[in-house]
Amino acid sequence: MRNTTSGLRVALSLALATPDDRSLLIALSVADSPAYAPSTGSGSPSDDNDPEATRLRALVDLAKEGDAEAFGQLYDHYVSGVFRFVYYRVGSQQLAEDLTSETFVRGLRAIQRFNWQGKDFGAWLTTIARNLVADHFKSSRARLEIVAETIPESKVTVASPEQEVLALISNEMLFEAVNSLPNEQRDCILMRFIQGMSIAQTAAALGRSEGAIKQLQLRAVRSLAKTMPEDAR
Amino acid sequence: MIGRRSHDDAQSFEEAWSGRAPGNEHVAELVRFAESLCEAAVAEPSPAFRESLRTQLMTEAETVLVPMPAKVRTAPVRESSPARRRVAGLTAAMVASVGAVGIVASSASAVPGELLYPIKRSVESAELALHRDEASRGSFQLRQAAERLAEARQLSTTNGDESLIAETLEDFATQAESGSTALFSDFTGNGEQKSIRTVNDFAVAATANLSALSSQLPPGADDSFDAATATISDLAIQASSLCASCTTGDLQQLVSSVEGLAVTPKGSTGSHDKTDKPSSSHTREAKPTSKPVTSGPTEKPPVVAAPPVAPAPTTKAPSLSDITDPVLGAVLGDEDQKGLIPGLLDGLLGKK
Repeated sequence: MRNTTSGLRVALSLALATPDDRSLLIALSVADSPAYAPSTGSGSPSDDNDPEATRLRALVDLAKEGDAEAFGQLYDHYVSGVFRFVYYRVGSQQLAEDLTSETFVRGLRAIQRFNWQGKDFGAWLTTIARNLVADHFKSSRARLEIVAETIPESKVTVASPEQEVLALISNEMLFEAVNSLPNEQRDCILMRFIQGMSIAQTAAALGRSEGAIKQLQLRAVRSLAKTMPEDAR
Repeated sequence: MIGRRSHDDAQSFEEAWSGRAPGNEHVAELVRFAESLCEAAVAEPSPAFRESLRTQLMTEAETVLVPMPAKVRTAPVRESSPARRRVAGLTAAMVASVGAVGIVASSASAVPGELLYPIKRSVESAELALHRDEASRGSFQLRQAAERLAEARQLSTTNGDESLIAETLEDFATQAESGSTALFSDFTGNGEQKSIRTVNDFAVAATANLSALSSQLPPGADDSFDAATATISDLAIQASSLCASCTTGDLQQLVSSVEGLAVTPKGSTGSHDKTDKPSSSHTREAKPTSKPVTSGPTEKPPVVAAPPVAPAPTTKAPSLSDITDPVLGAVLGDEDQKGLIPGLLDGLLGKK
């Protein structure tokens, strides 16, 4: 029965899909893949008792039932993480804002279309963002822009001036170092350390096992540590 | 060994990162470095952007988020409501499926440009998916190609749109080619002579139809027509080179007649075509020498028996009913099954 309904759901989403919904479809299919199922063991304790996780799940349910304010609260919770992920991929404040908007608009339009209960909403949003970034780099528009924007602007809004002073690694260095990594290591670093997603969430967003994510993050941190200048650490 | 070791390293880094004491100095250093990465990531969306995107999303949410009944919170109003809902759902599905069957059935005679035509084509491709082995796929595709040709003829007689005719002819050529390819590989793979014969029969029939069409063709579709005839002649040549003994009749004659057809200059009025070349192409059964020139430069199509102009109902109808009959049987009931409607009525009226 479950298989039938999930098959129908995929068919329905395909039927409703417009060509530019590619990222959404990918996200939906990722959500349906077995690798995406919430993990059962290893390491990270189950978040069933975490009040924040419970709150977020309840908000997703409410939003699915048509509660706009619930979606607003989800937005408040996830917008920084999604923005950071996109920002350190594209290196431009303006572009990161555009892609973040697009991510949330798509998330809003799709939230009622599939059964998300029990799965992580933030990981799903990040999957949408990741696909949008990939689409952006594929488009010809990006090829023109990238020439002008290889180095990120410095006028990024920072959390606080003190923090900026304390940060030993500059924004620009971080952007360049992270983007010199292989694709999966890069996305893993962004999700784990810059967005602050859990191993399970990162595994879900990347469609990999938790073991694979642990390997990826170690490899990525090692190679970043080698490329970053010594005095920055 | 290396895999085991790297797995251990990955595990101990993850444990150190999530708060446990690091096992060794190397791991501790990596954790410190990862912390500095986190500190460096200071990018935040500007408050103005946050606020404006939130407003935009809230506005859109008003229209996008459809209010849905909460699954757990709302208590069912009446005890019977789930069952009732199920009956309502079944009824809706039944009405929809009866409507769909009607639409599918009436789409069978649609020609390009009509509202139901896309349905006809999707039914065809759904049917094609049911044909598993190459031989049946191939012959089904050839039947579809014949259907395209019949549609092109019907469009031409009713002065249909040039580009639609051209498109239909292109589809004809594509389907003819892929169908024949499947049949050819059935022959080369399984030695099935019947497959070659199917292609031959198709080519003969298509030639007759193409020559009948050539007199009615609007000038804008000439290129597609030439491409279609070239395809058919290629297929006939391939068939004869693959298996000369499989040919039922005068295939060589057929090949040359198709080629003749392709180079026949077509005047804009379409009335000067029928001089002598097309007459030799009507070689379904007869030898060209025994066949007198039947058509002069007249407006009438040649007398030779060409398949009917209407989209070949003789070949189409059975295949469609193959699909619709089981559905109708399931809905209305037949000798094998009770059917949805009688079953539903029984349920509503409380019969056992």
